Amino acid sequence: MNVRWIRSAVVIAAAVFVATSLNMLPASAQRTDVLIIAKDISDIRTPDPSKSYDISGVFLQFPVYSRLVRQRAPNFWKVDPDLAESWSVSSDARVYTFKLRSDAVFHAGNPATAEDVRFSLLRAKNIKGYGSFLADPIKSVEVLDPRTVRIELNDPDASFLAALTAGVFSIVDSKTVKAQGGVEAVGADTNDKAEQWFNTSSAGSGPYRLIRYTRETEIVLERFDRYFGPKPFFRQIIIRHVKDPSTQALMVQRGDADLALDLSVDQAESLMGKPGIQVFEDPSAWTVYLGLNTSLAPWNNPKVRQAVKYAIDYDAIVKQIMRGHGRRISSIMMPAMLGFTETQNRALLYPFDSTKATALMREAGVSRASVSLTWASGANYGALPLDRLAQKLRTDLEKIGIDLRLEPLQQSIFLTQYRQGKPETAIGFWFPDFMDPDNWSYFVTGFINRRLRWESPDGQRLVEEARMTGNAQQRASLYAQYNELLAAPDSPYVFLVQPTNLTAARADLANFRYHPLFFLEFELLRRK
Amino acid sequence: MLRYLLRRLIISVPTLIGITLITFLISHLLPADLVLINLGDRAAQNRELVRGFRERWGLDRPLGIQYVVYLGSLVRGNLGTSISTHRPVLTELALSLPATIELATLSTIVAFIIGIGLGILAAIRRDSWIDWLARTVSIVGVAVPTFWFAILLVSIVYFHLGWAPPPGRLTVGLAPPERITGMYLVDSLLHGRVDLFLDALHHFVLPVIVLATVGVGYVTRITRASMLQALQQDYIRTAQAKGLGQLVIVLRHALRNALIPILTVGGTLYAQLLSGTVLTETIFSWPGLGRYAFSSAASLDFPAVMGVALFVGVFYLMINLLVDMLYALVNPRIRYG
Amino acid sequence: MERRALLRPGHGGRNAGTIIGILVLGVWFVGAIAAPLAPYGLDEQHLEEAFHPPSIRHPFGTDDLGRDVFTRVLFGGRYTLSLALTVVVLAGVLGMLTGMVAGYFGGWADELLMRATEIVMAFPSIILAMAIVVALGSGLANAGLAMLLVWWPPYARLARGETLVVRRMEYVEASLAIGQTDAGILLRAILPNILSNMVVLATIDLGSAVVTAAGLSFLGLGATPPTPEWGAMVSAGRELLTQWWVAAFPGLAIFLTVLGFNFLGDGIRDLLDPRGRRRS
Repeated sequence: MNVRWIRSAVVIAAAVFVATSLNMLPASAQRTDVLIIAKDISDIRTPDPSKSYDISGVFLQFPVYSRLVRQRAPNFWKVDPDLAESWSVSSDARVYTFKLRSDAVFHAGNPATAEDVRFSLLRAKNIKGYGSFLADPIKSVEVLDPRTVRIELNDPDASFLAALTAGVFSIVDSKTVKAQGGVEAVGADTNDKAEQWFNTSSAGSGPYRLIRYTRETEIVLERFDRYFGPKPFFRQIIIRHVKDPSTQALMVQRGDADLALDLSVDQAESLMGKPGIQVFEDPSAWTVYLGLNTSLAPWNNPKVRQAVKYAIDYDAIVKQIMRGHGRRISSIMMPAMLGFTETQNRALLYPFDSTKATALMREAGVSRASVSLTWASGANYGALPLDRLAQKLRTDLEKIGIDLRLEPLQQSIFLTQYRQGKPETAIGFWFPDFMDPDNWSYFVTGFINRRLRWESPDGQRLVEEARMTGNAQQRASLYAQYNELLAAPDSPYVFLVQPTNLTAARADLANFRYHPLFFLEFELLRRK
Repeated sequence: MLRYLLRRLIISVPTLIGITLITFLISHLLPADLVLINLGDRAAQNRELVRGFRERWGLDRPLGIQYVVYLGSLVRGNLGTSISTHRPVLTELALSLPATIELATLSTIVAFIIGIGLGILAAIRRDSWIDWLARTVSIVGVAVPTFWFAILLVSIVYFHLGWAPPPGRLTVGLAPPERITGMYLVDSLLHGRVDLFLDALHHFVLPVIVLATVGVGYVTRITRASMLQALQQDYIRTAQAKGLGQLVIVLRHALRNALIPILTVGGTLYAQLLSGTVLTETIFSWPGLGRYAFSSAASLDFPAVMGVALFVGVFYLMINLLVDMLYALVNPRIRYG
Repeated sequence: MERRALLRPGHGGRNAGTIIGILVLGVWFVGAIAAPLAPYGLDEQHLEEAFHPPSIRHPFGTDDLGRDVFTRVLFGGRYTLSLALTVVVLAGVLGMLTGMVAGYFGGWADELLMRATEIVMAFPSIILAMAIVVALGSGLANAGLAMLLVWWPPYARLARGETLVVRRMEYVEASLAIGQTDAGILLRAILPNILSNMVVLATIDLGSAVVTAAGLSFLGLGATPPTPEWGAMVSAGRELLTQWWVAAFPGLAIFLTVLGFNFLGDGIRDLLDPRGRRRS
């Protein structure tokens, strides 16, 4: 009776299961010109380039839109032409004039002109989106002729050329966007109605156009055949939302994805040397430090701050916590960038010296202290797992008599509290908006240092002067002094590490180039 | 019956208002800076951006007024706009709800079929191997921590055996069926796309196994217990004495009487699954209500959070009502008046 | 007794289940108490020995910081078990008291309670848990508070229902007639009558409390490092593809504990609930 009924139900269920299993062919077999990327894209709020400011938003913007200028790996500090074929900067670094290339066409077929540049830059400024603060320096944008545009700034700013590589300065097709209700004039924050349209279409001049975007699911891009640059290899690029880094790793191993982008050190380690897999290691733009609030005991004692700098077993952090995928830093900047040479980075490092640390603690007259350590719970800065780092710091400082009470906070609360200057000790990081040393100057301007109740008028003078200076050599020497100042024994920053970025790819993928800020150059990627 | 229904609907109004009030207070009194979280560290330095943001989301008005304004637009069917995506919350919910409804419904159905079947068999073949199996299932199923089980399944069934597809709702790059209900299984059939249907179904296998395992445990346990009780009643003995076939006795009489507790358990289960299972959804990259609730709460997107709370509340009340209606259907002696 | 009989269902099997439950839980309780006797400390890091697979020195292997997983699983019992017990006991008492009061007095108190339980049960608990953790910080105590806030309604409802039944019994009416105070009746006449059912519900409930507590920690809403809570340990190990032991053993610990509570719950139900015994 119902035994039979159940039995048949089981048989049917099994049949469906088997049938659907057979339906699944290994996807890698038929997708030569389709690239599948596994990535967590849940932080994308909007695909509208002028509004977006999320790290993953870059994945949408960079292959789809062009900007006036670009930076590319491996020499990612150099500003290269993109839509602009040449430019000139006034000697006071206040007026920038760009000459556009003539062959750039938007996805809708309209040619890219100076008017589109004016529209895009002003829309970015006036729409008051998350990234609009980057457009604050702009005073006016003027169309001199259809291929020439002049940008005037409020104040001299030598970093502005590099800033123009940022996603928020993507150049959109003004005709198309206007037709969708886009507005660039003052008041755009309330009058602009184009944002929702960007969920389903794109108005760029990049090598790919957006076919489909589904939040927390998938982004599908298709090759744009009238792109002005070299013709990309892949006809289609699919960015698949996979929250879990370990699942991303599994998918690459099984060939269900070509690239996994959010790997932590552990997954990368287990993928290295696996057949059919290659793991790329590139410098990341994350720099991580320990911030000491100088208004509180024991951090109000400069000797204790100095002691901490000697008490941390940095090499163990790099070797064991990060499993070798990163390196020590002695200031907030990325070593080898303008103003922070490799030599200076090495010279400013503190050795791990527990005798010296103990002696300094004695000098300070502090034998025991208890202080809390907060960080964004469960977060990874690049490939560095913070929870693990915090536990290591705790054991290291215990040895000089400082009891670090671990108090992780949800990301949103950590950000709020750190901004309000509440944490006694915090694991902080820097991740730039664009690649110019000026963007690393916030550690004396009041933005970061006030959270730790620390002021440095000298430092502030240095970075202000560097911003106004057009001469690169002069800037380099000013930033070198800035780094020296940050690394001083009594500064509230204990600089720790710069993690590397780890990417796993199928072995048949070639021409992989990684930019620490703008990630992949899709148009170069190809299969062997 | 109608009067009862009406009364139930009326008393659910204060419950729903209570839910919105609690959610509203929670999301506005948290010690996190809404402006900072949504604008980002660097934009939050810009006074003009901050002022514009506060104005746009009504944060410059007193709390009480904000709540009244919210209720006002709610009555007009407007759930507000999501702070993160600038899309209407209703649109956003319409994207994540179908994924959860589909998953919850399928899991509940599977749990019911296996659980009731196993429970009945265990009750009529008491002390046999199948009874032993049923009792093991009912205790083990409930004991499995879903997140652990889900990870285990992904790594064994997907990764090592390759029997299941990777997490997600459809094979990578496959365009979902054109939206009618948002439920892929339903939409693909409505469009006559059997290939999409099978693909979607295949992606259901692992998450449904995870969610149904727990459900099977509960349903088996309650079915077995209530069937045993029902089978001992006098009228069953009478029926047996009258020489009715065992199938008829079990299905027509015993099961009918055992159905009320089963429905209660099943209803609770279904309501729980519909409120979104953030753990399972996270591991299977399932863009459902649980994920939406979790990420909106993490980014303090309060219009979205309120929308989720409201929908979950409505689901809960609706299912409870439905279960009570089913009682009357199953057992005509229960009347609502 | 034959060995097979031990595993057979029916009365013998049920007792066997109870015994299994008690044994499993006993092992964890003893382990949790004896954990300090383990050869390693709960946060004793040996970075150079990170990710060692299970061996004689480390029966469950070592984790990302080179800590002994076996020691941490033993210690973990302290946190997970005490959290589950605390939540269930507090929620049970709280729910029982409110339910008794509502059922006894009826009227608006009753209506208020029913609405309150409904709101709590209809509220998405993940949002509540997030909010509490956001407001008060992560930590086991706050996870416990989040659970407590959603855990009491079933007890309140059960207590209310039982009180409604008991209240109509003759001796309660009699106590009323001889002028007993309400508090006296609630404590002396009603409480003893409903207690056994509450205990049965609580025992069965312990299992789900363990799973929920672990789930919260898994989401990062519970225990904070270096606390070796089982769910947090599974969460820390889930990212590891080749070092399965880091997540597998704490996961197994959760599973066995819940299994133990479920077996025990069934046993206690048989012992305390006369209706339940008749049923099977």
